[in-house]
Amino acid sequence: MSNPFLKQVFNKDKTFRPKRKFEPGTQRFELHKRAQASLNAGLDLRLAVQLPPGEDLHDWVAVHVVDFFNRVNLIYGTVSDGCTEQSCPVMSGGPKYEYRWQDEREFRKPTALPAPKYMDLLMDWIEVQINNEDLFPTNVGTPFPKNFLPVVKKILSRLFRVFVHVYIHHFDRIAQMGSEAHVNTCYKHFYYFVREFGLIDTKELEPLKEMTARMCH
Amino acid sequence: MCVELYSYTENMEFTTNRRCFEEDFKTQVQGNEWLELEEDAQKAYVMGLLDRLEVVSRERRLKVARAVLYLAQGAFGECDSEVDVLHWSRYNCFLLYQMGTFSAFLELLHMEIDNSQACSSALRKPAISIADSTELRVLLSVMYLMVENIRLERETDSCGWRTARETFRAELSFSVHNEEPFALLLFSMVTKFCSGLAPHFPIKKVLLLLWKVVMFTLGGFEHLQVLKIQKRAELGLPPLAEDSIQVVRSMRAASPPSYTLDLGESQLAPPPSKPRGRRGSRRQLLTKQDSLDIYNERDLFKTEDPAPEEEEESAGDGERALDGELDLLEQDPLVPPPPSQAPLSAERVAFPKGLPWAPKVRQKDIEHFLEMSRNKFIGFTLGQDTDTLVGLPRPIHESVKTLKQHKYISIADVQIKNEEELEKCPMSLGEEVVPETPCEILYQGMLYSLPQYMIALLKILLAAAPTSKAKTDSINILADVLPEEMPVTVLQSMKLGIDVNRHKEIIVKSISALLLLLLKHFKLNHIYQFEYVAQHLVFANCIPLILKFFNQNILSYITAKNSIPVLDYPCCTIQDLPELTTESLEAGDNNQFCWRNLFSCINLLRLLNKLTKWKHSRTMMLVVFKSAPILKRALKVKQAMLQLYVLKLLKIQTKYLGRQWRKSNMKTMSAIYQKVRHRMNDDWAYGNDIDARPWDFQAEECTLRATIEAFNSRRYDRAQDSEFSPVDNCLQSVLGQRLELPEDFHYSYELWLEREVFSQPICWEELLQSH
Repeated sequence: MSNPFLKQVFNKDKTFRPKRKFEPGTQRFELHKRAQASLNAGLDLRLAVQLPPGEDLHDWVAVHVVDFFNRVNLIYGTVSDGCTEQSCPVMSGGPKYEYRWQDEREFRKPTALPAPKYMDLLMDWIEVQINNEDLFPTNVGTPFPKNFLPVVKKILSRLFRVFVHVYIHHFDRIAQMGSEAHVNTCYKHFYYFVREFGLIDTKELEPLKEMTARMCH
Repeated sequence: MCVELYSYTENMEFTTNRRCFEEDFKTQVQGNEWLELEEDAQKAYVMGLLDRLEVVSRERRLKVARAVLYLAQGAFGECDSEVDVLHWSRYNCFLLYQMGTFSAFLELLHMEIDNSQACSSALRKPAISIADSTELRVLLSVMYLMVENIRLERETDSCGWRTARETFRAELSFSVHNEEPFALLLFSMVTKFCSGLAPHFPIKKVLLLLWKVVMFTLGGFEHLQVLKIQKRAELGLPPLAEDSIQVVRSMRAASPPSYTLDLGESQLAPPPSKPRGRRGSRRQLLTKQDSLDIYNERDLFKTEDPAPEEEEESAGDGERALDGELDLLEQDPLVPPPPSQAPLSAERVAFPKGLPWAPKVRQKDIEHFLEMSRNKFIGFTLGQDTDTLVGLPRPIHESVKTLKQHKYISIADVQIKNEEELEKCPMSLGEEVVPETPCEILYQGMLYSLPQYMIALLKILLAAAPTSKAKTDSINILADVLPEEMPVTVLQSMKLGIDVNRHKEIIVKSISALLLLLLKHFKLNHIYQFEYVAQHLVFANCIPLILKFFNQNILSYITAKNSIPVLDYPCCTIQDLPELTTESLEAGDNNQFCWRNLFSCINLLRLLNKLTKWKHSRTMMLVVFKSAPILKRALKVKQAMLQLYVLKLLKIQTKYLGRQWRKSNMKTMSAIYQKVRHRMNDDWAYGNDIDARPWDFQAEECTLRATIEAFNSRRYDRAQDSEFSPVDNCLQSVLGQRLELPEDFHYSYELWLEREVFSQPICWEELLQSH
């Protein structure tokens, strides 16, 4: 029953990610429980993001990055039908902040793009990073590269921009769906995490400074 | 539900049946009508009728058979209302059965099947019509009416009737007088039809009868649920967490995903005035979930009947009180719930507090989880041990505890384990004691020709699917609906068109229901029986077939109106036929949707689920065949049960569909989250760990195949000269054997001894060689 189609489907160039050996079970169980708890009664997320004794920093960071990526992806997905070239002709965070896209390929110079396009490129780029075995090794024995943390910082700052855009431009949609609590919790978790390990510069965090001050103590 | 037994083309035969009866009746009974006779007199008449069946002349036999059919149809000539007809139909069927009609007709059926003259004349004809299957149609109709009427239980049934039901059930299930179970005869008719040797077989009736016989002998869905609960208790397994039939009944349909998301375009949500118009005004979406009762197909043509006709058993309720200790996880979804249908309204959506299903974990999943953790923290693994947690961090302990709380052991797990043991120790465990239930007997009977049966059923299903185009060399399933003379007027053509579509719909319904019922029963009986049938279905391309079926406008299929209520039985037997006009034909019936087609769609989806669940290779087939858009279109039907099974199929694929798909289909993702049971540690939403190793697929199916073959041969192969058959090495027994010696041996034996024994050198080394 050999099927030529099956081979093409598992070409690594497509969007399949190989097995991640980050004990997703443990990680997700903890976060899952805590996320539930904080929606209900508030477990301290600040404590939750701290590096557990005996845990490897890179491992801890890597698991969180993948997880945040997935979650932000879904969050954006819920508002994405309202985010169009007409509604958001540039990727912005209100009138004061505008983001331009730059990468190694098509956009050597920072280019202003409509928000949906920016998001697509952003997510694709992050996915490529995550799928890169040299950056995020899947085998337990393989060490992380020396430039791991700088790359992670770039990933997380870019993910932060998604929050910025969603909060500032599409919060009405979130409210309409009744999911502020969920998005807020995700944001808080993200915020505490990047603060704990100093992974995003303060100036990058400016656009949501006030909201953060209210939400995260 | 005997409406679907007849096509509209056959309507004239109601009168013919009546005439045959009345002619015969008046030769036997003067003055009275059938309804007026005493029970004894009725019985006497039937006995005489059956006697008159045994004539050589085929024409005379047919007339008598028609008289019997008229009785089975309720002697409608003497009835005033539809309720009457159905009442008498039931009464007569019991009477007929008690007088031995079924066995008589079974013999006739055998004769007709083996009638090679009929076959060859049919083969020679350029165009087959219902005229070629007249005898068979009468026989099968009588049998169908008897099975259907006797199968359905009513509280008011007398003791005699209940006994008759059990006797009938036993007669059909077990082989009587060395004959095979009745279902097998019908299966052989199906394969004969598909082989082209008997194109005149009225295949719709054969399939309907086969389905109902299986339902009668093995039991319907409700009975299956009871059996499952019993079996779990027998095996010492904890009771089921919820009654799935009940849960599905109370689920609410989700609003279908909007077009904008499907196309990937980010358009602003449409203004409120548009939504209905876009879908077409004539398409009335199913609205109230509460009025839908999938297992209780009410006969919508009857107005007076107090007890609703049950198509397939009504959902069992009350039997399974929800376990008080059950802790339905009150999870607020991390993903927002789907927005309300009116996009610009500021109303909040009310979504159910808890999830409908308790989460489950398999033993395998726990083992896998522990192995990964052990690998990371300790560096070595312990196989299938799920208790040793030493050395693992506290969170892992908690995780394992939670997992174990939701552990679910299925009957299949127990059976597989059992089978492994039996394979390993065939001698010490002895022969397995297999209870001879109707299901077991059916399986044994089907085993040999099972591939052919499945291929035949799928062939017919393909031919009956709405999206298939008739090819010249494919089988003709319309032989028993096409009239002898083709229609001339527009009205006649329309009527035939409706009839043909209805015919195909009924065929799809019977096959889909039959396959689902068989799979469910076999699975309960033994998982490997189920796997055997499933594998053959898969090899016969069932998966692309079902997907192809859904690759049509499902909404229009479900709202199709292929019926002409005035021509339906029993209405047509009571009322005079009104004038049919093209307008009245177009209007169809008063229903919002077509029960039959909805039922078929749900069955096919359930079938697809059963074939692909837990089978990586088959799930990949779903991905490769690009089933996601096809399945998403099916979500437009606002019926919770259908949506549930579509969502299940989508869930198993989501992790392979890519982040982009997931991002653009959030509504679908939310619906999956809300409606489909959660499996702990199932990474369906993120797709982090993709175990997609292409080279494993073939291996997986091959291993399964080997296991199934081992199972079948262990249980059912008698002629075994395996290594395990005992060797006789006792000298005495050799000496005690009686040998046939030639007559003159006692003269020549000394010479023989000299030549064959004493002078032959003995090669002792040969004893050491294995042969």
